[in-house]
Order: sequence, then structure tokens, then C-alpha cells
Amino acid sequence: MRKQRLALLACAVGVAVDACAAERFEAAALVDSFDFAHVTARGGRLLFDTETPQGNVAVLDHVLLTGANTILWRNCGGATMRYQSAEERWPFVEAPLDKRRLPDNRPVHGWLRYYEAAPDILRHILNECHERGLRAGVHWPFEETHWASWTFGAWNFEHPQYWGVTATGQVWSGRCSLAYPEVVSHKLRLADELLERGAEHIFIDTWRSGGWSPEYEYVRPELERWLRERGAGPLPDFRDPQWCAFVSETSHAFFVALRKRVKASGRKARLLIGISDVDALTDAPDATLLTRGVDWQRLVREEVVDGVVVMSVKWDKARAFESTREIYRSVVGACGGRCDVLFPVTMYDFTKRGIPSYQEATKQAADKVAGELLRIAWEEGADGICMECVDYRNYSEKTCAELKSALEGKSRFKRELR
Amino acid sequence: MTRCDLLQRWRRGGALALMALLAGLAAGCRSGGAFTCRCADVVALTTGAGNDTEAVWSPDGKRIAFQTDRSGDLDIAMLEMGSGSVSAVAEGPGHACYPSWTPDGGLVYTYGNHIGTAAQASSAGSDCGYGLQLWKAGLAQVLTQGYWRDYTPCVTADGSAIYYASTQGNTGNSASLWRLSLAKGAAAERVLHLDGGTAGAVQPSLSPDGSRLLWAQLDSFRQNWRLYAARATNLQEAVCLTPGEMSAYAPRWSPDGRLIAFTGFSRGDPSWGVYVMEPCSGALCRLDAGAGNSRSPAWAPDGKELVFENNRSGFYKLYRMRVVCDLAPTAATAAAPHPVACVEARLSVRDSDTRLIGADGSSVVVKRDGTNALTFVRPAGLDFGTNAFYVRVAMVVDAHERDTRIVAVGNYAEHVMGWQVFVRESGKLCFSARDPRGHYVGVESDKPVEAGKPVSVLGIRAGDGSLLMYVDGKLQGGRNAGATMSYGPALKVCLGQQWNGGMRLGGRVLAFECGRGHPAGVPRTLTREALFREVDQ
Repeated sequence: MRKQRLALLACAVGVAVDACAAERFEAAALVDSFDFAHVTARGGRLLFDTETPQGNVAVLDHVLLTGANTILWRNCGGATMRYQSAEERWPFVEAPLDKRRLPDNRPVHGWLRYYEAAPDILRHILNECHERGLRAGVHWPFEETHWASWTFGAWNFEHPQYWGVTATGQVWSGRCSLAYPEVVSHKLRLADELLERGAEHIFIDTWRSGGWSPEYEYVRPELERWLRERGAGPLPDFRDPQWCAFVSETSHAFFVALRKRVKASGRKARLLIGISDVDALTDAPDATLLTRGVDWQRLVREEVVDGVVVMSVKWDKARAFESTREIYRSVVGACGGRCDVLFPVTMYDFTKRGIPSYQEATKQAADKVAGELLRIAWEEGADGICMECVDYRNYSEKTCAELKSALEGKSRFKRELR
Repeated sequence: MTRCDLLQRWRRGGALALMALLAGLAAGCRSGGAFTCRCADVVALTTGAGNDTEAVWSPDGKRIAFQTDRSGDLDIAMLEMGSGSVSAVAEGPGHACYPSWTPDGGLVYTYGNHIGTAAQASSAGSDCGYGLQLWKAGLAQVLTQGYWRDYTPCVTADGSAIYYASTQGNTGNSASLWRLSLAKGAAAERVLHLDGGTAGAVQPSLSPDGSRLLWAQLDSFRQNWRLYAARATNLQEAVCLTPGEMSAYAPRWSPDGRLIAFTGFSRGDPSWGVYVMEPCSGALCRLDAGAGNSRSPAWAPDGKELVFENNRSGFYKLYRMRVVCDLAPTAATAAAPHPVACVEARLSVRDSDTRLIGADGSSVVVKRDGTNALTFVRPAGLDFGTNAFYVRVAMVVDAHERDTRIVAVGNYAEHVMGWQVFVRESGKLCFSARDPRGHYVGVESDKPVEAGKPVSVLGIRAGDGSLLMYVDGKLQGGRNAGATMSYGPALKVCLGQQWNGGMRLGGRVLAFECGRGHPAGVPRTLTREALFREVDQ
């Protein structure tokens, strides 16, 4: 509760207006400009040229219809950065200039070159958000490939010696292991690039892992550490909670290093972590630990992260909203005020946990479901909601109106600090 | 695998060259097995800033063409071996890359120049992707052009044709292999169709005698690049030459056709390295060319040296090294006999009597639940282990649904959805099996299935874990690999619904059979021995 006490104290000592204004209930929109790149009007005219500043401003305008007050702009597809990254630019990140990248053959999508666009896309859009008084940062998936060959990391291709390895000895360029200090350094340099461009929030989304998992962590440093700490003996299966917990030590160290780097930058920036498939918390290992090798509860306990963004929860179809509320309450309780907590109000439904699935379970319209999820989050003491991702018209006009109404009305401020 | 840990010598002065060579060849190598390679005398060919890559030796051995980014984008340049001077071949705006020599001293290369954004190009109806150009006597001629990507060309030894990778007509994250005859009026033809989520073939290399084609192939997102080879007259039947555990690409035949050099990385290697393979036995040798990544080897015309790129200086620069490989009579990898095809389960419908008939004549009676769906409990004979098997279904989809619908599923203790045939929400047909960790490995059809029209689907899990799919007898472009799960006895087979009763098909299964081996009438997977021995004889 340290954060809440500080906020209350701030109000009490005469800076009430500013401090309380800072406690606006947050509505974070994940924005992926790539998904707008092929939106056409009747007649086939493309609506958003996302390689230009004007095109991205148009994307931002569309996203803001939801009432979002925090923008988390996607900085990459896999490890192909969507700005002029020095770290992931060299030698060439374009297919077929690097022949190991099979090209994306979709019209428009397959010919985007965000990494060359000028002015720098990320710098421009973060600045645009700041000028509009929005909180702005990046949505950075915990992946080095996004399910397609052309998204594999250029840095990965240059450094096969750090690639992930399976228990059977198969190397894979889809993930370099954080067990190598060189890999951590590389990622911290990427964080520097984001901070330097003005990111106020670095949101590491472990939900999107691009196929990475503890399965690829049978690398030399981890095997040597295993031998030192656990002795000789058969290595556990990658699904074994022991192995996942073991791997999470390395992931944890990365987040600690990132925390230090953000702090050392001297910039006021939050470090957020995205988690998925969250259930009412018990002593059993959670899905994020078992599938991503990340112990988010420890990150919260040790105050390594400033916020937890819940991407999906395992609600019960028979008790959709009730079970959602129970899980939200459990997560807020577990975080104990040590960090911000954002809950999902998402039209994305590939997890079968989004608004369309709630609609199916409750027979309510999307706008009503969205309103109800926002209300539950607010009532349970969340710091805000997260909309994953706001694409072109995937939040209907009615849903946007419902969300805006709540965000400007009853849920304008966080519940505890009204 | 034969691993050679070879001495390398970096030298500056010419006098040291011979000493280094002798030392390297005489004493610096450890060999293993019947195939040994020795390398020595690594010499820098280019210096300075910028990356020099994709080098190829001219047929007369006097020049090396390569691509360079010294000016920012990629240009083609030429190195005179005698004088060491470098001159521009294709420079200026845009990228010129992947040079390949013609027998008469010309160069075929890829060229692309993208001005403006993708949206602007789309609106303007651009036809400027990456195309092939021919440079000869200082003049460039456009060979191919369209809003796709033609790249990594290889000119045949007689100069009559070019093999290359192309995305023309492809839809996924993919590339196919094409052939362009240089005869007047000839049209390019696709010779190996690969398409889908992530599947592609890149950098074809024709053997000096023109009989076999070699290329790098990526079969799926989770796989590594691997080398494949096939008879040049039939690329549909190909042999995978490199193990799935390693990454291998950029292959080139030696001038005598007995060796293949390529870029590779295996667990424990310090970096990308130049590998040499003896294709008949599959023996591999990693040449230690020094610190840094060593990539894209290409043979000198006499077969005694390789030119390659290495980044130990901070930039990729070109180097040459002498290579000697001893080809002791190889014990060819014993080709595993093809498993005999056998229909292990076949659907039989006679009036109200519906059964799954086994190979031995035994049968399992259907369990119905009042729908079109059929369930057969514990059918015998579907315990394929890691061997090849197939699933063949004839079916009709009445109407497409908004989500996935199951045509057939094999339910196993190892995985509840051990193998499946299903219809995606896109209307495309899929065949899937599993890898040893239980991951889904699947291929999908080139096009959506037509509603109301009978269609025949055949999915094959080959003995090496690769997947193929035929629709109405036509091999589909999708590929996948790594489906090597070992199948024990089937718990049940469901037709028209998922193993748990969900995802019901809006349609009917007209016929079904499942068996081991490759089914009759379908080309078998070519073996290494068949490909390399028979052509040599």
C-alpha cells in the first residue's frame, strides 16, 4: 500500500490537484500500426499510410476514440524494429536482402519498411502523444520473432552462439538466451533506444513470446548452473515446474537489470509487465511462469516492476463476470499496492477470454460487456484497464461511447482516491 | 557427423603463405571417419569500411564478383584477382545483390529500388519489387520484373537458364524456386512450389553436370534452414541433406560435383562457419576460418579454394582459403528400406452398418451420437511409432463455418489430437501431426475447399517427420517438418468431430483410410543413396 499512502500524503500536503489528477483511472491502448496498414475504404483506397507521420497521427486519432489516455505503441514485429534502430538495423533487416528471411508476400504489409521510414516513427509518435497530454510508451513483446521468418532478429542472425537450444540439442534462431550477458546487454541497448525516444512506459508483454519458452533454455550457461546448483542427474522436461522456476531466475535477473537501466537513464519511466492466463492466485505455479519462465509475482514482490498488465484471465463461462471479479480481486490483493494493476477490456479473442467470448457466455452486447469489465476493474481497485490491441473499428462506436462515458464519469479517477 | 577441427593460418606476407599452407595441410588437422578436409592460408581479399558479401568466382578464375554496402545500399562490385583492384558493376540508387556469373563473363543479379512508402507503391500500381538483371559488357538488361521478389540466381553451367528463388504468386511467408530459360521468348516457370505460413526455398545451385539441384529450405517457423537436393528434372522428390538440429544455408557445389560448401551452425560452434559436405554419405566438416562469422562460401573454378565472407574486422570482408578434402571411398548411408504401405483402417459403410476395417480383417463398430459424426474406439494398427503414415479422406463441406471444424482426428495417449485433418475458418484444409514435445506441426492447402463439392485429401507424415499434403491428387505448396512424435496404439478415431465431440464438421466424410508407409500412387521420399548413387553410375 506504499504507493497509495504516498499519493494520499501528496494530496494532504497541498498539491492535491496535481497529485490527484495523476491518479486518473488509466485506459491503456495497445497500438499496432502494422494492423492499420492495409485498411481500405470502399473503392480500395488505403486509409492509413503508416510509414508517414500523417498516417500514424490518423491511427492515433482513431485509437483515441476509445477514451484511451495511455498509448503503448508497438515498437517491433518480432525483433524487426519499427523505427530506425541502430541495434537491429545492421546489416539488413529486409527480406530478401538477408536471404534467411522468407518474405511476407501480402500486399502492402509485405513491403513496409518502418526501419527506414523518416522521420523516425517511434520518436515522432511518442512526441505527438506528449503534446496531446497523453501518457506514452512502447508495447514490447517478449519475443525475437513473431511467427514469421521475416521478423527474426537481425542481431540473432549475427550471433548464433547465443541461440536457444532444446533438450535434444536443436538450435533455433527464434530466441537468444538471456543466460548470456551479451544478450542482456543487447536488450538493454534496445531499451536505451526506446527511452531516448521518449518512452515513459516500457511494457514487456510476456504474452507474446514468439514461440520462446523454457523449452529453448538448455544452453551452456544454464546447464552449467544447473550442474552447480542441482548436481548431475537427468535434466527435467521443459514443462517441469522445477525447470521453469530455474529458468525464471535468469529472466528475473534480466528484469532487474532492465529496472536498473531505466533508473540510470534519469528518465521518469515505468516498467510494466504483461501476463496472461491469470487465474485466482494459489500456491501453484502460474501460467506465465510455466510457459514463459517469468515469475511475475516475484517481480512485484521485489518491486522490480511498476505495473502489471493482465492480458487475459481464466474466467468461468458459467459465472463469467463473477469469476472475473474474483480473479481481479485476487491479483489486486497479491500486488498489494506495490505496483499499478491494469485489467483487460479487449476485443481480441484468440485466447477465447476476450469480449466476444464474454458476449457468448453472457448473451450481452459488446458495449455492455466492455462497460461491465471496466466497472469490475475499477470496483476491485485496479489502476486501469488495457485494451489489446485497438485496431481499425474493432471497438465499435457503441463500445467506444460506453468506455468514454465511464472513463469521463464514474471511473475518471481510481476508486480509492476519489 | 564427422567434425574436423582444422588449423587456420592468417597471414599477411606472401612468404608465409606456403609455410602456413604446408603447416595447415600437413599437421594442423584432425580428421574423423572417411571424410577429412584441411584448410589453410586464409587471405583477406578486401579491406576497409563496408560489408562485402555474397562473393562468386568467375569461370576463368580471374575475378570475383560480390555485393557491397560501402555506399549505403547494396551495389555489385568486381575484384580483379591479379591486381587486387575493385571496380563497380552495378551501383547507384537501389539494391543490387546476389551476383551469379554467366559462362561468358556476364553477371546475373537481383535489383530492387523502392521509392516512397508501401502504400504509395500500392496506390500507384508499382511493378518494382526485386527482379533479375543481366550485366554484360557494361550494359544492364532487365530479365524479370514485377511486384514480387526474384533473388539468389544461379546460372546453369552452359548459360542456357537461370534458377532462382521467387515470391511470384506466393501468398504466405514463403518463396518458391523458378527457372528462366534464356532462350528468346521463353517464359519463367515455377519448378518447386512452396507456400504457406513459413515455407520457402532459396539459393538454388545446379550441379556442374546439370543433373541435380541443391537449395536451402525452411519448412516451418520452428525449424532451421536445411539443405535439400533433387534431380533437376523433378524437384518434388527431394532429399534433405542436413540434420534438423543445425542451421544450414547458402549451398554451392564444388566444380567437380563431389562436395557441397555451405554456411552452417551447430550447437557448440563459436559462430557461423563454412561447412563442407560429402553429399553421398552426408559427412560434414566445419572449416575453422578464424574468429567471427564465416559465411557464403563459393568455390574457385579449380575446386582448390573457397572465397567467403568473415566479419572479424568489424565488417564482413572477403577472404580466400585453400581447401583439400580427402574422399575415401564412402560407405554410403545405408538407405532405410521404404516401409511397405499398408491400409490399417478403412471406413466401410453398408446400409446401417458402419465400421472401421483393419488390415487383418478385424473391425470396430461405429459409436454414433445422433449426428453425422462417427467415433471408433481403439482401432488396431494405428501405432505407427516414428514411421511414415498417411491419412486419406474424401469429404464434402456443406458450408464454411467461422471457426475450425474437424474432418478426422486420431486420439492417442501421447496427444489427444495426435493427427488431424480439418477445415480452417479460412476454408483451407489442414493436415497436422505432432513433434516429440507435442507441438502442433501442420500443412494447409493452397486454396479454400469449395463448399458442396467432394474433395479428396491425403496427408502424409514421412519417416523423417516432414509433412506433405495432396488435394485431389495435387501436391500442395505447404511444407512442414519435425513431426516425429512416436505414436502408440490409437485410443480412438473420430470422423466429423473433435476427439471430445466438439468442432463438428458441417459436411460429410465420404471415405476414410489411414495406413502406414506411403500410399500407393504417391511418390516416395527420395533417399540420399538413390539420388547420388544412381546419377553417378
